[in-house]
Amino acid sequence: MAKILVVDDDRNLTRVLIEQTRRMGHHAMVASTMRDGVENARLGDFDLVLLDVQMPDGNGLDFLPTFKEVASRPEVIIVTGKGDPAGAAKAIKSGAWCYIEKPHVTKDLNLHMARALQYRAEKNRAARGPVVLKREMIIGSSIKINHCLDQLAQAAMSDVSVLITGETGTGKELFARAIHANSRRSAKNFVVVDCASLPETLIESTLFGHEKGAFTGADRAMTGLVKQADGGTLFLDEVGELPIQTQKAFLRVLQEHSYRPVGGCDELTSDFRLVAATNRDLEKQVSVSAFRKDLLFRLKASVIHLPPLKKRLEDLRSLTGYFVSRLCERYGQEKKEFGVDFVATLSAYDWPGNVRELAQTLEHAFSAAFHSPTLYANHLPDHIRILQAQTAVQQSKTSLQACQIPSDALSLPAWRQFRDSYEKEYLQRLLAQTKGNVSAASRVADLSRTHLYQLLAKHDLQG
Amino acid sequence: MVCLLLFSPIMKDQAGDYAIFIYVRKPEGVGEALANIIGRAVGQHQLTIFASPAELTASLRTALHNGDIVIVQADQNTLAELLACQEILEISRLILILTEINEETIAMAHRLRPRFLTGLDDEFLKVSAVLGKMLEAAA
Ligand SMILES: Nc1ncnc2c1ncn2[C@@H]1O[C@H](COP(=O)(O)OP(=O)(O)OP(=O)(O)O)[C@@H](O)[C@H]1O
Ligand SMILES: [Mg+2]
Repeated sequence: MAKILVVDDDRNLTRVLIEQTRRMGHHAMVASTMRDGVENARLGDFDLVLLDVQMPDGNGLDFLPTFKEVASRPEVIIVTGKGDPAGAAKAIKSGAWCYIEKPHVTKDLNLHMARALQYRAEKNRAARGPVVLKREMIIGSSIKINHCLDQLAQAAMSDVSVLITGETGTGKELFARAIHANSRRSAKNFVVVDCASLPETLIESTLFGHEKGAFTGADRAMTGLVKQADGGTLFLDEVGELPIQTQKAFLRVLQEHSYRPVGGCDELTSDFRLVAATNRDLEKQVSVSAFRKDLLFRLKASVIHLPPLKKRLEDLRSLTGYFVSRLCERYGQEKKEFGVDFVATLSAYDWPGNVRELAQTLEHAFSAAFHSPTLYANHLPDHIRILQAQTAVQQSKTSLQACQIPSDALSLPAWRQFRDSYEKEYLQRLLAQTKGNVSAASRVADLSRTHLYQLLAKHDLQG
Repeated sequence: MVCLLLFSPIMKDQAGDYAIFIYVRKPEGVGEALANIIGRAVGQHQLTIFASPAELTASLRTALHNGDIVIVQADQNTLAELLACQEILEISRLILILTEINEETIAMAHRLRPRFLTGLDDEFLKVSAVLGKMLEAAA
């Protein structure tokens, strides 16, 4: 998302431009006088300025050098009501990206804007120099994961809070650790707060520590995790599980950098960098008052969203190779090969548990193929192989029908959509039959409980 | 003093209980007390006692599965031993109970990336509560 400043006094046009830039995923702001324009450009860090020529308090071409020199060094596109060749030449000489006449602006702007922003992104990257990122075992080279690694590198250079979002098992903790390892705080502690497994009664004392006497037991000497993260990174994992009361206390720590241990009156300080992770939709939690809006605002100073595995299947082969070679090392075995059907079968599955489920699945396959030098699809669990077989049947059926009755084939839904609707129906009947008892349901369906929970979550059903 | 307990959902028996492995080194009583208290909190369990750290790590290499919960009660020497074979524990969720608390042991402990870090206490109330919640989520 780029930040764009529109300097123009024509209200109708600015409305159109704002809408157009928003549709391209950018954030735009308007200034309707030259003075406002220059001031805003100095204060905000804009990537691009759309500058009118005829303004009530000045001529855009005269002010062009001023805009080019503000701290963020934005690109400038001149948007003029009356084009003239001399004006165009002057604009380009003074460093404008291009010169567009108003009648063509809605048609031409997108392309010019995209090119200017791409140029700018490349220029910035080159200026930063090649970043040597410690990948910390993050495997994958898909466009999606590379984009996340870029964001990681960026986040590691600063001290801003980072929120890592993504489905279960997508690597949120792995990324959190990598941010720490690549930051100037790497020599200090990386402290995990597992918000999901801390009972409410323990959470504040675990975070902030407690005064002697507040609790019995010999662990009184233990400081809180916030203190242990002093100079380092505090990782709030599953931050959506933080009780609302604790959210308030935590917000205070973020705002004031100081806190009080449970049962104590002295203020303590801690200089930590915050990284939080969640697989929940926190905006939605805010809307039902389960999460504080002000806390979310602080957490998401920078956001890294990790894609589900099914959206980056290009990485499946390298991930599989990585996990299998680690298993070989672990069990002191020779390197194993994959049969041709192995990765194809893995690719047909949609991995609701993402990379973690892949690692677990490969563990199963590895033990099934313990004495075999090659992993074949039939070493994989049934639920994965069945899907591959069905996909194959469905594909040949569809292509058969497509040859005979094309109109019918066109009315078929996409495979995933078809399977999802049947999957949901199956789960609903399963829950009805077992009266919502997950243990019983997992027995009937012959699915592990973890897998069943993942399927229920996927379809928004409850056991 | 070392005490290690491992909860393995994959090794779960038919009744749905977790297998618990325990490794105890002097004084044996402490480890057993921990196992008993925790066992009471989570239901039946199977106990395996290892005689030496070498035997333990060799066994963990193959007994440990992705997502298993491991509880270790450790002093500074044990932390050093665990750090030396960190890649074995990496796939587990670790609960660490420190018997020596100072800046150095805490820093060593965090390098093992525990999901819960606490000090030794007589009744293991915190550990039982956290373990209970973890097992509940994994059920
Ligand atoms: N890109 C990756 N390369 C290698 N391993 C990965 C990658 N992503 C995830 N993993 C592995 O998958 C497992 C799950 O990752 P992690 O714990 O970071 O996920 P998560 O998003 O925090 O999941 P959850 O929401 O369930 O806590 C770990 O064993 C991790 O090492
Ligand atoms: Mg996680």
